[in-house]
Amino acid sequence: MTQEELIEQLKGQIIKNLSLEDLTPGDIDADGPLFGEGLGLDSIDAIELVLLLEKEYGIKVEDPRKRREVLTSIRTMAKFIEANGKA
Amino acid sequence: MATYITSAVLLSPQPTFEGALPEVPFNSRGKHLLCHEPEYKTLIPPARLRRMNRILKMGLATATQCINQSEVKPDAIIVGTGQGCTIDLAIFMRSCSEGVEELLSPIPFINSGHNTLAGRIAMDNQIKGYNMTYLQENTALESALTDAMMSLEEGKSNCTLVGAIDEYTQLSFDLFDLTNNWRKEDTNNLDLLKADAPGTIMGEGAAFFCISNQPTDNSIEIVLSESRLNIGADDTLDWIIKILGNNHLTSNEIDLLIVGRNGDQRHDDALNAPVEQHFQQATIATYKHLCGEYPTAQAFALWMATTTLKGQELPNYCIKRKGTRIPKTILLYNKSERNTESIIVVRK
Repeated sequence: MTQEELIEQLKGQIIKNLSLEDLTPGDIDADGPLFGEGLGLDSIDAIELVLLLEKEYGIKVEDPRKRREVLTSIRTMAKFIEANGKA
Repeated sequence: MATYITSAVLLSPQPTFEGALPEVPFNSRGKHLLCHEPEYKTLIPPARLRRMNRILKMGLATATQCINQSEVKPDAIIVGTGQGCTIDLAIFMRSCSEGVEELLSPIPFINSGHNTLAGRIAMDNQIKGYNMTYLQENTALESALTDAMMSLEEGKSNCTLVGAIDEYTQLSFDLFDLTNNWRKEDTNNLDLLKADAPGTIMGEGAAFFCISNQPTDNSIEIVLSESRLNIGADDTLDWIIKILGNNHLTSNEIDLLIVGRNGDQRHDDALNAPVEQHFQQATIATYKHLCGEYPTAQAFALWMATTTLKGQELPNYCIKRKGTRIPKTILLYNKSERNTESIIVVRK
């Protein structure tokens, strides 16, 4: 799976798991911030994203500082999944 | 001290959210009725909607509409619910039972508590006072009303938002089906009270009332709300007459009696006929053929009483026996085969 394919897959999973039903994958900027501006997610969404990585890709992110880094954008999530050999 | 309903909003299987019963009632054939829901996006910001389950959307939309319509703004919230947020509770419990507790999603957990709705209404409307949820099944509404009236009397609140809510879920339907609550055959809801068959149909609804210790131009006085567990005692009439007397009312003053007949031929006459026969002067009205049976269904009757006292004519499809008097004092009576019974009296 290429990084772009992985990003599209992640967008679909995020829309489903975070109940972002008003959005389509095309509405989401892969490089835009997930929290605050951009997608405007919050701390509960952060827990859902950590669970998503664990359930869908089998990757645990236990270090809170690492979580902040991984959950910057959808592209950073995709790169992290690739780096862990799960793509 | 008197207490007054200053606004009332009902979300039900009928298009009551607009403020009145329709000329032609909604009808469908089946074993349950679902609410005629509004477009939630026009009432609740989409960003807040996305984490809400259906019962939260129903409750928050109804509560917000009720607050907006009240001249006096509430400073406390009391909700009655028989079953609470069953869907998310089931999702959460199922996740636990599947043995993956370390991977539990927080949203079903947050949304699974019975008091989730009262908390959500408080946060969205910045109501920072007393916040309580009553769960006494068929008498949850009456308990909430009683608490609200006492809070107002004691000066703990000047206006309390009182709600009653229950939703249809397949899980609840299946559970109560084990005790043969529901009709075995599909039934048109408008024929519910006419058919000679056991069981009833399941319904749902959300109703909210702003209750204040200050009357407004169009407010309705809520005189009393009482409920009890009655196992085997054949003293319902004595109980009602005594409560009326305690509130300086006589049976003859009741102009309209709204009873909770639900079409279950095993219980309907036994539970309701003695009360109907006692109030000879009163018009008798029914409502569960419009909303189905659910623990807080008497909220439908309370809304009906409120709109009637505000001048809306009671449609013929609600009237079981027509009296001659214009309704000024209304008694709501609901008794379930599960041994609870309750009365509410409101007047203009």
